[in-house]
Amino acid sequence: MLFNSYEFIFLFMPVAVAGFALLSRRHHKAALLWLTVVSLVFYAYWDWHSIWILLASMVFNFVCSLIIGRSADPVSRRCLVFGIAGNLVWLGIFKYAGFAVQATNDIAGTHFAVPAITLPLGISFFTFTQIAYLVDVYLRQTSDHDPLRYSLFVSYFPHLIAGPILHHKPMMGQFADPAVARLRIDNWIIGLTYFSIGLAKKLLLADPLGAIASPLFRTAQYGGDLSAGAAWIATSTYTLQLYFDFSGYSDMAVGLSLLFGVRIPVNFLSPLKATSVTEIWRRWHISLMNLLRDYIYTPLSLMLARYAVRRRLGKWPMFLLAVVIPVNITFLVSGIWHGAGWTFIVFGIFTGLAMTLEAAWRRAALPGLPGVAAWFFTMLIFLVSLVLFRSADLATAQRILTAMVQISLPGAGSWTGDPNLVAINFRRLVTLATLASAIVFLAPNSVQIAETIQRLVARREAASARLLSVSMAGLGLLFAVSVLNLGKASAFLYFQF
Amino acid sequence: MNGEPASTTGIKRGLKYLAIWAVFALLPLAAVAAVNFVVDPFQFFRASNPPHFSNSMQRYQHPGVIRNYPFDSLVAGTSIVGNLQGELFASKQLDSGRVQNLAFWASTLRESAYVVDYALKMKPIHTVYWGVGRQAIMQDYQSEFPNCMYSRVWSWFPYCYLLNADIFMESLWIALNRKGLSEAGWVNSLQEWKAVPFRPRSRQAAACEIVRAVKGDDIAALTRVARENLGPLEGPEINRFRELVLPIVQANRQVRFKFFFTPFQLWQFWYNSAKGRALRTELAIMQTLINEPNVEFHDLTAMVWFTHNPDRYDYIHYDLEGAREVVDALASGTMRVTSMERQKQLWLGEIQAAGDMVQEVVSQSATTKCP
Repeated sequence: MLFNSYEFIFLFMPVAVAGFALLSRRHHKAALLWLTVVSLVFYAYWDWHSIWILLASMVFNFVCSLIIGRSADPVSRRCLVFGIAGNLVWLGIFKYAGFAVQATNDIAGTHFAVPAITLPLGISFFTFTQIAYLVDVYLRQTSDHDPLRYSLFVSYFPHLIAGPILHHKPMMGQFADPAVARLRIDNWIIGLTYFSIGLAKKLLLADPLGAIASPLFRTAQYGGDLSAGAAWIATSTYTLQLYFDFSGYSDMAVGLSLLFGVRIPVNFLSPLKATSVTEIWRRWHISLMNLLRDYIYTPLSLMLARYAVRRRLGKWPMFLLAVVIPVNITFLVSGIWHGAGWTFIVFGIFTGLAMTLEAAWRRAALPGLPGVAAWFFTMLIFLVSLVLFRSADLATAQRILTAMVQISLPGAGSWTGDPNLVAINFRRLVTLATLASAIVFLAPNSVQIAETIQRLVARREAASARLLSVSMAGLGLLFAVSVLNLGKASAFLYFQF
Repeated sequence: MNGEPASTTGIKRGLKYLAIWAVFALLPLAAVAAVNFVVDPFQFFRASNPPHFSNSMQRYQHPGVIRNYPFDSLVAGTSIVGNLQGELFASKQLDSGRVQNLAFWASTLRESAYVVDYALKMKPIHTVYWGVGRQAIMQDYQSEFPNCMYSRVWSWFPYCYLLNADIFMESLWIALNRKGLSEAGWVNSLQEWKAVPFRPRSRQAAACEIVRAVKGDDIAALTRVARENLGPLEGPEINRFRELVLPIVQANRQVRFKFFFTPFQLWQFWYNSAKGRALRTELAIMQTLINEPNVEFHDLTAMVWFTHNPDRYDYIHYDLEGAREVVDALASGTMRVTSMERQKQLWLGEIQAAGDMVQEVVSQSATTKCP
């Protein structure tokens, strides 16, 4: 079930919220059980064939966590290794087996049959979440082994399909606290604020932008030529589409969760305003980046840095070990996490290299670029990385990137006479691009808007009340306009991960 | 946001803001639904007078036609069968009564199945002529399909129709008598509604299309592999077919289903068998359906007198005379498949003939000036 569907908005969400509201007044555990059941229904409604994969993964990890938590080393350590390996094998079978066989065939010239395995929804999200849980149980950073709270933490429907990736500590803590589940009007006001904004981002911006970008990427995929103009329009509109799509989904998830009184982390903080690649990845898909930082980058960096200190290595070898290697491994994992394909691997490598160059620049204490130039180069690098991310294969990415560098002046061949451009409704494109850019660069982001609403709710004076009334009316209207555009509903881009 | 419970006054204030949100969210929705219901641009609730039918928003138009216009049999499929009009069937004096074309452009098998299923649920149908196109088999997307309009459960409140900005705009243009601003592509008759324009192209353009498609390929090797690998092929496409089409066939034993493979031009037939999975999947489809008692299967790729003639095709569609010949073939049953083994032999021959033709075109390509 999509968040942006009639069924979800007018049936599932009201029933889920009403059931929770009724139960949470009397019996906290029953409310949690209700939330778990509706989460599983949410998952099964979309893909009931895969529900057993989710359930099996939950059972496996929960049992592992019990053994790890109740035993000492080396049993605990062995079980952790077994648990992580089990998760990776599980993920590997469903997500990477086809790609691995195809890659083997391509490289070794073999002819193994490529398995056609349907990717279960959200498998990367729930697998990584649970690996992090196992590690923390091993490190004795959690001792909460309640099966109901664990099941809800993994299957909690606002985040289940496309994140944000949750960390068990704040989530299990909130689920354990009956006060959290008690209905609060201010949570509802903020929740509906986030949800209305997220729905509008998806339906009024991301989908129309995608309608411009997708045919151009498809043309390149099937070997068609793109002019420089078409290639730049494709990459720019796709960048905006992905931002509004994924941040819209995340806003909706945060908002939905607040209707149940549960806070989940925000996933985006105006990433397209960033003036460095490092900064962009601190503001984009924050929950994934935090997970990779905490469980891959930092441990690896610390381990290699200690090695460098022991060996008394110099400044640059230390930099290589403590920064370059961990950064590149982290982004390689990020690329592989996003998808089974060479484009994702190259996307990870490219981003890792860009981060390395930036870190080396800082390490060498070279002067930074002025604001606008820094932003321009950051966006250039990000756009190139997203071409790799979006393209169906490397040949498509190459075609688009080649077209992008074949720039000539408008009217000199590359902007005119291109049938791909003729098909674009330019008035629509300019309107959308202007609106989207204004929102990205001039408007406050969702978090800032929600914080403002929160402040207005807390104040008592008449001016705040008026402003809040107008804001709620505007958000209601935004919701209505978005719902009227549900007829073109399309899946969120991050569902495939 | 979480903390001490709010006071009663706080709750009242909060409820006031929630009420403001709800009013501004729900009132516009109610207003739009009311306008769409009254104007009913796609005739879901009632036939309009004078009638009008949307070409570019066909997915919204079918339910209204099914509900409000009389017919006894139907044609389903993609634009490739769009020109199989009722009058062609009428001229054959078949027992299938009045035939209505409900094929639609760029449709998938899933979408066609929804249309057929809905029609069968809404009225007695004698025969379903179902053109199984390659694109329809291989692709499966559902976005932008107004599922609620094809559901009997939601017949009383087709929410995806009533709560829809695009439909609202069409309602406005009709109510204001400004159809010129519409994006629906209105036409005035059911015949016109499905007509697909045929835009012939030059021989050179046809040859260039082939040359571009097989650039760098070893055609003889591809032909050999295609012959060796000819199906039936199990895979997601045939699973989808079993899931979507077979239940409709089995649940409607009183209805006669005449499935047919549309007459693709020869080089595309080769291309699909050499580079894709389509032809092998088609064999699996035939195998799935051939023993069903209410099913006939017709292979119109065997109409070699025009599949071998590129002059009769634009990129993918055949000419209007072709539509007449397709109906002739369906009526006479001359292309009906009776044996899987015979069918396979026939296709093996066609793959070889197509490979030879492609080879010949490519070998002459030095003299062909392609843009």
